[in-house]
This record gives sequence, structure tokens and C-alpha cells, in this order.
Amino acid sequence: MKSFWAIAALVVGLISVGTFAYATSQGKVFESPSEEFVPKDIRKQPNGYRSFHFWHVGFGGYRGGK
Amino acid sequence: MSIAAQCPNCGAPIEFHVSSSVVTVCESCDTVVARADRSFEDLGKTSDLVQTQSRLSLWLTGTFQGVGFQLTGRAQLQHGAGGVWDEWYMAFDDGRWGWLAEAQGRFYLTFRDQGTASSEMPNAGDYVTVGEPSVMMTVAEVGQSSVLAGRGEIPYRLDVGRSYWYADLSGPAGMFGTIDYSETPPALFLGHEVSFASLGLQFDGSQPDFDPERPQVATQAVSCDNCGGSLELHAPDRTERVACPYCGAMHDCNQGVLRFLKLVEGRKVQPQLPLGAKGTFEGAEFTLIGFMVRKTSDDWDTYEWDEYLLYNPHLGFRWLVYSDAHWNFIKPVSLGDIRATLPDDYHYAGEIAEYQDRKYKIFQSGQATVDYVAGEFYWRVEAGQTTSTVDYVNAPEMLSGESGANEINWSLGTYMTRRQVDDAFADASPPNERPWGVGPNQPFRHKGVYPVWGIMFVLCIAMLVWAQSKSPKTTRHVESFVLEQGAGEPMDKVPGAPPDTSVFFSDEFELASNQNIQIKGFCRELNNSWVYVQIDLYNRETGGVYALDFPIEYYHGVSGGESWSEGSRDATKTLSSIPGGTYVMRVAGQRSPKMSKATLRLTVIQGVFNTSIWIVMFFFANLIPLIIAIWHFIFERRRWSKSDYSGGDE
Repeated sequence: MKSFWAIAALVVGLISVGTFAYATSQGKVFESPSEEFVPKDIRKQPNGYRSFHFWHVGFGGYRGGK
Repeated sequence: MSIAAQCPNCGAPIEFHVSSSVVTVCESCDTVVARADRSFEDLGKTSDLVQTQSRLSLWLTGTFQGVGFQLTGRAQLQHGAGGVWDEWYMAFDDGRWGWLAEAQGRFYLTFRDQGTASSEMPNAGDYVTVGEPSVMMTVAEVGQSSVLAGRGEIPYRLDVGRSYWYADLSGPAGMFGTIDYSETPPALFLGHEVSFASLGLQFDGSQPDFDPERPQVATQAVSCDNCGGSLELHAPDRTERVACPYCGAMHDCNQGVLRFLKLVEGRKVQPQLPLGAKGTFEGAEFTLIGFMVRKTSDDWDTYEWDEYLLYNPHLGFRWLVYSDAHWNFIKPVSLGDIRATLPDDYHYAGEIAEYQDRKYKIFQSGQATVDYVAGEFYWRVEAGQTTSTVDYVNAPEMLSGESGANEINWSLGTYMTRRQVDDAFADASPPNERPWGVGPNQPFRHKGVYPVWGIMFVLCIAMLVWAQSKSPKTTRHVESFVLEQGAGEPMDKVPGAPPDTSVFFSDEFELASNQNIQIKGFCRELNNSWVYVQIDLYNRETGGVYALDFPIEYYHGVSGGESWSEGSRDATKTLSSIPGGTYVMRVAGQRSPKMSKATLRLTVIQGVFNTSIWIVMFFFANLIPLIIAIWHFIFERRRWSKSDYSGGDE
């Protein structure tokens, strides 16, 4: 019990530092982009990705302005 | 060269083994015989020696600091307040005489100093400069003693029954001294406290009944003169007062013989630990022989605590103090090693005391009064006795000073938990009470977290430096897009897109893996309006699509004569790394209806240092130590809230 908090602080601290070191080495931040894939048959077409209706339709209704 | 003679009293043969001996005691008739130029003088008979628990005996040889010696003589002296101590005389091979005082398990070896001391008797607590080279020592005690008995050969004229004044001195590093006022000018003896082992005594078996490890005086069973209750004296040779735990009768004790003094009226207190219990402290077994309750009062309250007297035949006396369910193990320390100011008549004492390179801060001072006693005591204790006390603390230790009329004593207390006290006693258990508040010298037991805190702090700074070195902040692509009617891809391919939206596909560019991505958007035309950007990063090799979006808003104006602004003409978005490869960016930009045209410049950067992640790491890495530090602060506040001198901290 005498060194419990020292050990706990060391463990938590090392986990924090280790997690940060891993995240930095992997280029991780808090926000990750959503990930989807264009189907292979579309990708095989020259510039097929440009006409793919897969692209986001409707913007979710962003309303800027003051 | 030894000198043989005949006892002037009984005619028995006597011998002066040491040429510089002044007296010898005839073993046949106990007459003290002094040697003059050509004759021998009868100085009278000496009493029997008081049986003590000394491990020494006459004619023992030893080696001290490389010089051989022999114990040739012994005298017993009685303290003015009661109590007996032995003085042994060591004849060294180099012709010196050493005075070896033995009291309460401690040994003090002194040699006659060529210098002298002032004939003006000091007071206890005074500082005196003695010796050559001179050294400053503290007067520990001023008192009167009388010679009780003697044996063997002694290097001075021993007058049995004669009283003389003395002053005991204490100096740094165990220095000890005595000023003997029986001579004019007063004689000065200087030396040190020594350990039994340092005497290098040789027990050669010539004393067949003598065992240096076995106490010489056994426990003695006696009866209370008042109630007849059975009492056990564990230190009959040193006990001066016995308080019957059954009826409270106070007895004077002289070599195990009790003499009833008075019946102490008033309350009876049951000790938490029973008299006679045996406990092990600092590797030695002690017997609990005495118990007393002391108290101190101020204008508002009376505060009490218990004190238990422990005894070991070889080590002497120690104390266990029980106060507010906190325990302390107390042992005496040399006055000469203390640098402190005891309370004056106005109870003012110095703020700091020093002992063995440690500083102690004053905690409280006052008058302590004995309220109840039971068991054996080595001084003439009685209820109502009052001493001035002062306590200095440096957890887990407490330095306590007590001063009476002619004596000053210092002791060092070490905090003990209830479990430690329980483990020390095999046949007794302390009460299972939760300590009240924080004890004056109770240590904060979680300081071990601070080195970890230091390590974590350094690690966090190191991570900051390392992370910034790993953040090359490389610009991968910059391209501008003009958001206006008719620009970009045909909008019939994007059904459902809001009005004022333009869609573009960027040129190809490369992105590396394992590096975060920051996309910065800038629109110079923004003026109280907005642009909304939706980006899809398309990996040409894998077909992966990674989407993000963010607004860019800028507003400004004047209100109440003061200008204001909100937002910015640029905005950034940072995302975690995505697989490396060749990318095309699909940009859908929506502009405010107020804007007919907006030029959007997008910059793709990789390897950007992310401060928020570092802050989160720093927070969690230091969270537990910070909580412990706050706990520690509260702990110290609670400790010092009980001090007469609150406002200090450790």
C-alpha cells in the first residue's frame, strides 16, 4: 500500500505517454475521416470515379450565415 | 609495578596493581585504603555495592581505540533525586586513567582534562566553552551526588558518603563532559558516549557466573504495602518509585524494597497495554514497566496523552506515547547534538531545532503535568509534577525537549502505526482505534509518487520535443477553386446538391502513410459571409474514399463604437493518417447566397504537431500525482491546524 499510488501513477503515466508516442508515430489524431470504397468495377473505368453517383448526395443541409 | 601492603584495619594483604592508583578497597573488610608517600591511610569502610544489571566487572580487560586497558576500580554514586549509577576506572596501558560512567544502559568515557572550568556553577541549558582546543557544550544537568560504595583500585581519594556538586555537559557527536566541583578549581573531565562494543572487552570465562548477555538482577516480586497486591519489579536496581496499579498507592523503592508513601486519590486509568507486556523495538526486547497519563491545558481545553515506560536491561529506558490514537516510540538523544532554544518564561521557543543535520519545526510548547501513574519509574515521579515541554516535528520524527529545575532532556520520537505497535508486542494488542486527525509527526505515506511525477513531467516534455521533431509539416498539395455559377463539374451529376454549390476534382498528389493530414481552406472574399467545404480524398490505388468537411466563416462590424470580428477567412481540419498513395481530392464548395463568387484555396499538409493530443497525454500522465499533491496539501493543513504555531508547513 505504501507505494501503491506511486505504482499507479507510474502505470497510468506510462500508458498515457506510450499511447501518445504510438499515436504520434502512426499519425493519429482524435478525429478520423470516414472510410468508404469505390467498387472495383467503377474504378476500372477510366475516370470512372468522377462520374460515380456514390459521391455524397445532399449536403445534410449546412446553413451558414448570420 | 604493583605494591603489596597490609590493610591498616584488618591486616589482610592488599595490593596496588597500578602504580598510579590512589586508593584500593580491602577485599576482606571493605576498608578504603589510601596510599600516601610511605604509609597507608584508613579512609573508612565502604558499603556493599548495589546490585545492578551492569555487564561489567572488575579486572576485565579490553581495548579502546587500539590501547589496552583494565577495569581496576568501581564506585557507585547516588543522584540527588534518587537513582544510582556506576563509575568504572580504566587503567590504560599508556598510563592514562579513564572514567567510565554507566547509567541507564549508556556508557560515557571521559578523561581528566588539563584545563579547568569556571568555579561559577552554570544552569542547565547554558552553553559553556571548555577544553583545549575549546569546544562549546551544553549543560545538561547540574546536580549533587554522593559516593555510596567502591571496589578495587581507584585513581582518586574516595570518600564514601561525601556529596559533591557536578555539572554534566553534552556536546556534538556524542561528546560528554563533567565538571566536578569537589575540587578547587573545579576539575574537568571530557570524553564521549561510547558503545559497549567499542570497549572491546574480553570475557575470558574467569568470571564463571558472569554472562555478559544475561541481566544480573532478576525480576523481583513484591507486594503493595497498602492493598497487598502482587507487584513485579523488572528493574529493582533502578526503580525509584512504584505506583500500585490496583489501589494507586505510591511507594518509594530502594533496591527492590518498597516503602509506602501515600495513597493517591482520584481516578483510575486502565492502560491500553498491560504492565509487564514485552515488545520488540529496534531489534531489542523491552518490558513495559510503567504507565502514566500526562496533560496540558490552555485557556480553552485540557489535552491528555498516555506514556508507557519500556525497559531493557542493556539499553535502558524508552517510551511509547499514545495520543489521539497515534503512537510514537521515544528514545533519549544527546543534548549536545541538539541546536534549539527551549521555551523561556513567556513560553517562547526558537522556531527551528536541529539534530543530526535535520531541521525540525516547532509544533507546540507548554507545561506538561503528570496526572496518573502506575508501575515502576526510574525517578521520583508523582502526580502533579510539571515540566516545560517543547515539540519540534519533521515527520516521521518529533524532537521533544523537557526542562525541569536543573535538568534538560531531549528525546526523539518516531511515529508508529497501530499495526507496527501490534506487531511489536507478542502478548498484547493496542486498542483498535482509528487515529483522530493527523498526528504532529505522522508521515504522509504517499510521497513516493513525487519522484514518479518528476519522471512523468520530464517524459511529457521529452514527448513534446520528440513529437515536434516527428512533425515535418510537409505541404503535399495546394490548389485554388473558384466557386461560382457554372464552375466545376456539371451539377446534374450531383442530384440533391444545395444551390450555390460547385464540385471540382483536384490534380493528383501523393500522401504518405502514418502521417496525419491537415487541410487548410482560405477564401479571401469572405466578408460577413461563409463558405462550406466538403472534401473526399480518393485513393487511386485502393479506391478508398476518406471524407471530411468544414465551414469557413468571417463576420465583422462595429457595435457601440467598437469594432468586432468573429471567425476567420481561413479554417483548418486535421485528421488521422490514411493509407499512403496517389490521391485526388473531390471538393464540393457551397458559398453564401450573398456571394456570387468565392475563390477557395485548399492546402494539404501532412505531419502536423497536434497540441490537443499532447495536452490530453500531459493531463492523464500527471493526474494521479496532482491528486496526491492536493491530498498532501490538505493533510499538512490538518496537521498544522493542531499546532500552537500553525501557519508553518513542512
